Amino acid sequence: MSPSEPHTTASEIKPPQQVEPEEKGPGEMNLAEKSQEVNSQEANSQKQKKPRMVLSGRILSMAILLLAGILVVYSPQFAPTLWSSAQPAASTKANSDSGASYSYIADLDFWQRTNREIQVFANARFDLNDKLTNVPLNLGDWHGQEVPENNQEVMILLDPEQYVQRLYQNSKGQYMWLSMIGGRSSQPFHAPDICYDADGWQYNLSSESIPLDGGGEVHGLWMQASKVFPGQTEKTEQIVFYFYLFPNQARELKDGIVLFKLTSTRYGTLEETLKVHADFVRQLFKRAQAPGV
Amino acid sequence: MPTCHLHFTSICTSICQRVLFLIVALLMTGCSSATPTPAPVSTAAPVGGSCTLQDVKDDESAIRGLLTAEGQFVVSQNIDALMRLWAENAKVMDAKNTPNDTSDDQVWEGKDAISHRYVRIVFPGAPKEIDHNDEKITINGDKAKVESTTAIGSEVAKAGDRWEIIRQGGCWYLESLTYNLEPAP
Repeated sequence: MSPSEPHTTASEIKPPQQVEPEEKGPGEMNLAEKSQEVNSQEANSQKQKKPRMVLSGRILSMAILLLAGILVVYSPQFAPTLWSSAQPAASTKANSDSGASYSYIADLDFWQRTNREIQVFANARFDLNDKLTNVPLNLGDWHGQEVPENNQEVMILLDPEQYVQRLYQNSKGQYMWLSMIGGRSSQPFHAPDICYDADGWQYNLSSESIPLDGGGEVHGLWMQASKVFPGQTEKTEQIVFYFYLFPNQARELKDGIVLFKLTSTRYGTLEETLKVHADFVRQLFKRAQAPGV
Repeated sequence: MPTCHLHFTSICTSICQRVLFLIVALLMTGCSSATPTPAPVSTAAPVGGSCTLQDVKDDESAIRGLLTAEGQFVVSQNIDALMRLWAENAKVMDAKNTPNDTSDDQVWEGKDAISHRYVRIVFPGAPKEIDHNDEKITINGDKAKVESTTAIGSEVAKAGDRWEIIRQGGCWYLESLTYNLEPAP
């Protein structure tokens, strides 16, 4: 251990009296004296050098810390690298006063990001590492039951990894279909409006935002579709609200995507129908915020 | 071992001082991030529509340029540039070749839906060339109407399109498109 090194441990310091005395020649000091003198010089040297050493170490530490701070503050893209565990990761459980537990990215489509992309906090899991059937059947005033898809053509065409279809009803007697289609390729995600069009429905498409109880809003595509079925004189109407959920902001197909789709008949005006859909959405999604905040 | 004790104490003191300095430095760094120098906030409306185009001399050339750009951006499948041409509350209607009967029209209302239509319905057709020809432009103040024939490759819709254009903040924007106005073949 050289005295120039700033860190010296107690065990490395040898007291002078431990040195064996030796016969002294003319003009010479014995080893003990030499040792004492050397130790004394070292001690003096340490006394002189130590403040400088501590100061330079402190400056170095501060410089590193400041550099890291500047990188994180002014180059936010470094933050995930430095604090990867602190970032809202894929469908991780998030602590929240609003009771929301799982974080997802929601968007109007999966082909590329739209400016409606948002981070939502849900109280159920909507990722393919879990079963979508674990989404609760009882949601506030809504009570649901599984309605398996019997149309094998649909299953062959879409080939989804998970497919959940449920019919919920509330105490007012209003019905809501919930469809959740999960996959890791683009095949299961035929845009609903294109399917309706191919099946002879006339439709209007727009988008709507639903404010969430804990703040923020989730956007979805809003479709009013109508069709006169053979043997009927009146149009059958369906109102659809849908968006896509991704487990993280990377939005890679291999991580899985879930289409969240609500379908109902029209309940009063379109605005009133939107309120019914909004009530259902708010049972599952508690708050939203800009991604990466 | 008083020497060791003394040295150990001084090391502890030194470490404590260092930790204190680090905390202060960290706090200072963190605090400085909370109050970054505010970037100058632009009060001007985002530039879009015809203001993104070159060689615009007058209203008519701005409107023609808008339609030409729409065709070009569809061919290049540049959705961001396309959507900058449209007004916020724009809409697209498919008249289904029954121009006098709007009950069967299909409507995409708002930029989200229009963007969705481009990407899911128009882009998959991968058109190689789009021309808006025979344009009849009528300008009335900050509004304009254009009737045009659209040629998508060899497919020609004679006088099949009606565009409504609006001027906002000095720039012309697409406000609506109604297509398939020509009678059914």
